[in-house]
Amino acid sequence: MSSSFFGITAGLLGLEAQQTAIDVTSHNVANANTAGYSRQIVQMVTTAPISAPGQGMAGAGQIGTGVVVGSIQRAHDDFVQSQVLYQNSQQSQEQGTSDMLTNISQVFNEPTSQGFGTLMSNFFSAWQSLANNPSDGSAQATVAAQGAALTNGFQQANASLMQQQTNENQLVNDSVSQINNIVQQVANLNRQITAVTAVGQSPNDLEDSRDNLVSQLSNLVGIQNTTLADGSDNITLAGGGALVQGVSSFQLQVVNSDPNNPNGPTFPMVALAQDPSAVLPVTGGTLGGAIYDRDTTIQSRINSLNTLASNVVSAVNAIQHSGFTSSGQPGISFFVPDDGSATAGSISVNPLINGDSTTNPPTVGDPSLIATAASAGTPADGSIATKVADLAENVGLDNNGNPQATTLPTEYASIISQLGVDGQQAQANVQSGELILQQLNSQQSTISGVSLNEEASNLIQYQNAYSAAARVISIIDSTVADMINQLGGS
Amino acid sequence: MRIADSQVAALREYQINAAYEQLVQAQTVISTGRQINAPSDNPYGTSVALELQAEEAQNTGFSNTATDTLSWMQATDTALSGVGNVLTQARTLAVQASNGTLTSDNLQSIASQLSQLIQQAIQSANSTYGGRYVLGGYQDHTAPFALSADGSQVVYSGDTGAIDREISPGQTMQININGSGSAASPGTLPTTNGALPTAFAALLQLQSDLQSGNQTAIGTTDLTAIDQASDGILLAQGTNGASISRIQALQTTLSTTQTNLQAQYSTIVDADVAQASINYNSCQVTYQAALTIAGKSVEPSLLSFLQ
Repeated sequence: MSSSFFGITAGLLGLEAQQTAIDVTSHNVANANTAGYSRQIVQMVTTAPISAPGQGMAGAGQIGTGVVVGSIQRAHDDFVQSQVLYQNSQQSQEQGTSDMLTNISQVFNEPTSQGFGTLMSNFFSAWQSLANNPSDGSAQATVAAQGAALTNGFQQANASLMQQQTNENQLVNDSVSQINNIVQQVANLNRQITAVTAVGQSPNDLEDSRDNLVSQLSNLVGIQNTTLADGSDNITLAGGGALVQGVSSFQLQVVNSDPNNPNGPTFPMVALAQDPSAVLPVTGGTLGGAIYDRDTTIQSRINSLNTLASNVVSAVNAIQHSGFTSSGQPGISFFVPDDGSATAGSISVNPLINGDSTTNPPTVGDPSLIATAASAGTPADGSIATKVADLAENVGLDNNGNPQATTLPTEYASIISQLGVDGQQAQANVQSGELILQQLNSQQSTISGVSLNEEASNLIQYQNAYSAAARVISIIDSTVADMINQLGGS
Repeated sequence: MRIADSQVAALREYQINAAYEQLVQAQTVISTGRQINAPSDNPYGTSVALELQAEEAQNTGFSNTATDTLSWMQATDTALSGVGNVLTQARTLAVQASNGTLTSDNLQSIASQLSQLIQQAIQSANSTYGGRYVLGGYQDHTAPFALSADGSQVVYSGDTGAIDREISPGQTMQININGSGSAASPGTLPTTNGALPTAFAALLQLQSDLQSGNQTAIGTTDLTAIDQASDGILLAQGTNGASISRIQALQTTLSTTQTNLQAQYSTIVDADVAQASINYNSCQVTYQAALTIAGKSVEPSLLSFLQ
């Protein structure tokens, strides 16, 4: 027969276990709105049973000795978490690209009557008027002025785009310092977590903090996260390059040149501080997005503008060189530079024609140097001016006299159209990404989020069990008291 | 399925945001009056709109060209009429002079009247439009017609230039008449560019016959020559007039095209206000519904019923 006091011990263990469960429930309720918090679950296990001592060897068998809290686990799904990390990186890159394309659209300001396309139309219209009055001073001055307006348009668009690239570079710097801060904290948490794991406990709240940091990190840059058996997270960049290994963190550094590869990528780029010469292939997140947008999204518009500027220069100048001014002089370049090096940033109207306000004293241009006639000494002939105006038309001819495949306005329209297609694509990506992220978060919440109903229900369960255990102790107490009183009664 | 409270809050926020974003987009369409506010709203539409814009600018250019060309041709017509009038008056003088009873002094007096008329014809032939001589070919800076020093001929200092204008995409048209042709031989119709030289030759011949008193020639060959010259001027005016009607017809086409281009641009870029309003209203309903649901979604939990 077992000890009379045996049940009291079991009851006490029950009280303690239910008390712990109530404590964990209150921790869950308190953190219902904590970012990255995973609800915690009390795993109760029975204590080791003993063989009930009977009279003789044939006893009743094993008897339970009570309950203890075996572990407090967090409800967490590593697989969903890794999907969230990936989607975070994608989403912040797509969002950056979408925002950037919106900014670029504002640079071109289309379709409005104040856009760059209007500048181009005005320029060619001025040539049409000049063709009607080739030797008219005001028609010549209008062409020079509209030419200057067009080149200013090119320069301003180019400058705005380059400013956006500078902003992206600033974003690269900011992201790198945030990343460095986070990887250090993750390494510190790894140290604490491995210490707790080593003694067989679950460092739930520390792991939540670390998950939260890693999630922030995934917004900044694409990463891969592997959790090791000792509880530490190893984080590498999606494109390769370790950021955290166990308790060590590796800082990133912005590098502005690569001595080994002078013709390499556009700088600044990112490398590990310990190895600044090895540029890392960064993708995803704010950082990857900034580099991608700078080198692709923005650069491709700059390149298109440069091509357009260079086409405008070569087409107009070729026609100008083939003609004569109304006073019989051979035509000169309308746009400079004329050596094929014209870009959106460098294009301008020949200072001989339009003057140059940057010299001291400013030089005055002579718009009558614009070629309008096909041969010398024919001031009323405007056929060369007509040819320039024809560049805007579908019937325009190329340098070999064949109908042009594309005109300058259609070339411009296709740049804007491409911008629109990319913008639409980026917006669709952002929207669908948001939906995916929302679903993943929802999935994560289903597993890890705190449900107040559930906690309340648990609370009732634990409270009742606590009361019951208390009741058991009190009944054993009265049983023992009865026994003492009746046996010892006088 | 297990529903966490934070999940409900996140979903609520997502739905309100999505509804609000659509509402703001619908509002932008109405407040700007445009359904394309950025290329990404409709990339293809944007590129069509840009091309329509370029086409419209070009069309306006052609319209300006047509107006200017018309004025130029009217100036040409006025100049030719001036010469034509002189020829009519010269014919009257010639008929008068061929009367056998006139004295040599009378003929001299008619000759000096004629010389005034010749000056007038030269002046008329040197008409300008916008400071440009309309009948001198490519040489629009210098007066094309002048009497030679000995007064025996009118010298043409212009050239054979045909001023071609592009009046519609890919279509060019000669807009000028010059004095580069040679005077027509008796009995033939002068060419368009030979009308003025023929006229001046007839006038000068008449003057020379008046001065020499050759009344026979005045009454026969000179009269025929003046009639021939008048026909030539009429021919030139006719050619010019045909061009004028062509340009006038073109102006109508250009103005129709302009209206069409604007209508097409408007269809693509401008918002259909009625449709936009309906869209805005339906977005508003969705947004308000999302808000209402969110306001009511703080449902009582089990905790509310625990004592």
